Amino acid sequence: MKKDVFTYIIGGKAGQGTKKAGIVAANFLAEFNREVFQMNDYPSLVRGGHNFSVVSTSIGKIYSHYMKADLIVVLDQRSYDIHKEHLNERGILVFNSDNTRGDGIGVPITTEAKKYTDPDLISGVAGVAVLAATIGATAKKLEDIITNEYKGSMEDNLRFAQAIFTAADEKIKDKVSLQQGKQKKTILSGSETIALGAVAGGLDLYFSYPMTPSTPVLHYLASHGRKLGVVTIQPEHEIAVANMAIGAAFTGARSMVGTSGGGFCLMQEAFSLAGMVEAPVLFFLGQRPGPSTGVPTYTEQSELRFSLTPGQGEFPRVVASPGSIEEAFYLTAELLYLLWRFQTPGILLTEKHLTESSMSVNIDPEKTPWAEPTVHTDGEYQRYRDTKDGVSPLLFPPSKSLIKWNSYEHDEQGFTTESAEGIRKMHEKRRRKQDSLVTFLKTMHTVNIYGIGEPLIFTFGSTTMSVLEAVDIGDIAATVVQPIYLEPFPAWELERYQHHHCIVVEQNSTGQLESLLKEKAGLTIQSSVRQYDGRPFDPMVLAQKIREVI
Amino acid sequence: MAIKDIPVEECMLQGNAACPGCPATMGLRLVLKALGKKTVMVIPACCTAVIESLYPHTSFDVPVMNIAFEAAAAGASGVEAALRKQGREDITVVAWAGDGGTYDIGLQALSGAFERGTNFIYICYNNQIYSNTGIQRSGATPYAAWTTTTVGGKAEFRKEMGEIVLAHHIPYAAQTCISYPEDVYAKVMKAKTIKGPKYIEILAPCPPGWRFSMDSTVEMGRLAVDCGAWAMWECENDVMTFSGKSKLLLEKKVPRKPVEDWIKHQGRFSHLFKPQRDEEKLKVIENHIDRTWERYRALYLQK
Repeated sequence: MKKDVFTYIIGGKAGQGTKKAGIVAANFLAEFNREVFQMNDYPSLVRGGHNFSVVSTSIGKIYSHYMKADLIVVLDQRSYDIHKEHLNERGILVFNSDNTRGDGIGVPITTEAKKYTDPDLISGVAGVAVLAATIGATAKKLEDIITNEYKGSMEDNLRFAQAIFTAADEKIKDKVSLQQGKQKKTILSGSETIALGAVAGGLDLYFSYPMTPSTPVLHYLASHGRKLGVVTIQPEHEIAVANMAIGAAFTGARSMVGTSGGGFCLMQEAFSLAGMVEAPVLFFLGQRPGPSTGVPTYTEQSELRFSLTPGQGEFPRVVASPGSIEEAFYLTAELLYLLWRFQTPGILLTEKHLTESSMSVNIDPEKTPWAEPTVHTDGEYQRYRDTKDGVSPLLFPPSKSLIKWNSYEHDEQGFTTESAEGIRKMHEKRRRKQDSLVTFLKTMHTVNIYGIGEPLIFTFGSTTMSVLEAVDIGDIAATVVQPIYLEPFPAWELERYQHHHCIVVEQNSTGQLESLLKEKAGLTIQSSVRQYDGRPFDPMVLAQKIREVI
Repeated sequence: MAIKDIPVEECMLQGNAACPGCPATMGLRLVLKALGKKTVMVIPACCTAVIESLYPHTSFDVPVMNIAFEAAAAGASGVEAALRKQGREDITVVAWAGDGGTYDIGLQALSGAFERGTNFIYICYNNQIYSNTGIQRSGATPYAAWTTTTVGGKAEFRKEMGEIVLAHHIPYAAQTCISYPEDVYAKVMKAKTIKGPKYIEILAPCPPGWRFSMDSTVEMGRLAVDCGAWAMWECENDVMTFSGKSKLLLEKKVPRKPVEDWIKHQGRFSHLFKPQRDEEKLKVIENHIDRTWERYRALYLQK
């Protein structure tokens, strides 16, 4: 049976509340016990840009938005011109008849909105009202949703919503009937699951300097941190951010930092310092198209190679990238755990498409590990004790013992050394720690494998969601392989595919995952699908592209 | 100096992508009128970097170089050194940065350029927040102001950037406000004639960031000066002179307006008035301003 997907797009000017309307629509559709995926598209402008939000819903699992919609609501002519292409063959387009000429159903949104104090801010509510009419919701149901979701000017919002609902109802009533699902699920954004996953894993302090697309985690923890027991600090730049986190780790506090590529460049020196002093610090990195300022509010996966090798010198590091918004919750907690277990820095590698999109998730804080250090208990304390597994027990100030975290090469006590033997010995201790880390990872779930048979489609990060949805809607028989861990690279899980038909799907122009698979796992890649226009894949388009290369 | 003395030629054209009531574009227009077309601008990440190069809204008639967030003064130093080597000291090099790029991430580069004696004008347009990334707190955000990262109001006071600059003893430093175009223009004109590092900070009330209506930008700046939350002054070769209303406040020739007259118009302070008045915090703000002016008087009032 063909997958039953319903897609809703709302488009308008920045400031008209299209993003909010998208979130409300997602929650509305979740009321039907359906799963949803929501994606926001907005330019890096201080005002006036074209914004839109896409919500796709299905009875079962849905991993992506679709760009062909069943219902499109546009608040201005520009949005109409852009989105009329996005209507599917049975779709309905509702436009604002006060400012737009075109084909579809006109509703006088501006005329109604002008009856209230802030006609612009209220416009998005119209989109929710039209959705309600289209899917045959009752006026009461609409009222409940508006009351729950919109704060402030409640009376205005309700009356406006009812007016639009009535106007739209005559023309499109019950055009779509949505099948009810079985179980209501929570909708969270990637930023929320990352923040909550970190908290579930034991986060004590979060440090960040504003940079899209990592900023929503900063905003979330700045407003909810106190309730969650997390201290959130926004210092003067990313150098301060990263070094504050190392300072916090010195006292035994679990700390995380958040940034994007440009900010992470400034953190590299601290990243290397964390490697040398053996500080467990989690770096949450949100990718956007680079180089330099690039395209701040869009998505890309061009920092894969960069994330594997930051910082001068040789030291162990852990890099992992969640393949879904739900996985981001568990992986953030797992990384905190691993970093404290092995006392080294690590990166949670994400993209704008993951951090700023939302989807139905099932998260359980009881199922996450809790980060705990190996603590020194008795005998003389040596910060860099040369143990079998390379991990030296920790001790935190205040203490009668000497605690020295040394950025110079050091001996077991932490004293600076320049002796040939001392340098070699500490290198070997860190190498042993790397070996222990690999041994440990071999006991863990490091690669997601979906489906069976050939071809094998390799992907990583948020593109995993696009690929899963594409093979589902396109009815493509294939195995999707997603390395969750990228450093240490789980070659032990992938070498078995050396003589198979392999395809790589990724969002960069040079094929960074492809080169990694060749280099680390010796795979032969037959073909690849790469997208590097800042936009996430549309599953229908991706399915077609995959079919072309199979 | 009167408005009629400001040239009609424009280097900052209409139709740019800034918000209505944007103080940055008002400032740029005045600054470029003073500097003319023989100017090179260096701009780090800030609102101006967002609005400055969008086709067909590119509204600058001078060459512009974008630079990394932390490095406006360093980038400008590079431009200045190379122009000097080419014998082109007739070209004015200007770094134009926001308060985040000046008070916070760019402070080190700024200090370095001042100490090196770089011959340039550094202009900070201070809207007291990181605005283009979504209204986060900066070192310039005043006490008790709401931002997305100070949800209950900022717990710390703004740092006195102008006085940090004074400690470098550069030939010219000034504070002004977008609401006084003659003052902005005159200070930039003076800076242009002086060799060495120059610093000008312009208070730039931001309608969406401070949460006031877009037709009140000028009024918000004037009220900030009237209540003493912002001081206008210039310091030439270590001689400090207060300007306009700030001079009268310093000399106690006019009473200072209550700070409430300024903040009650701004949504970022609305939590101080509803659901009930937060007398304690309002008093903290008033006292801080009083103490600041007592310190100014002790340090800068010519006896």
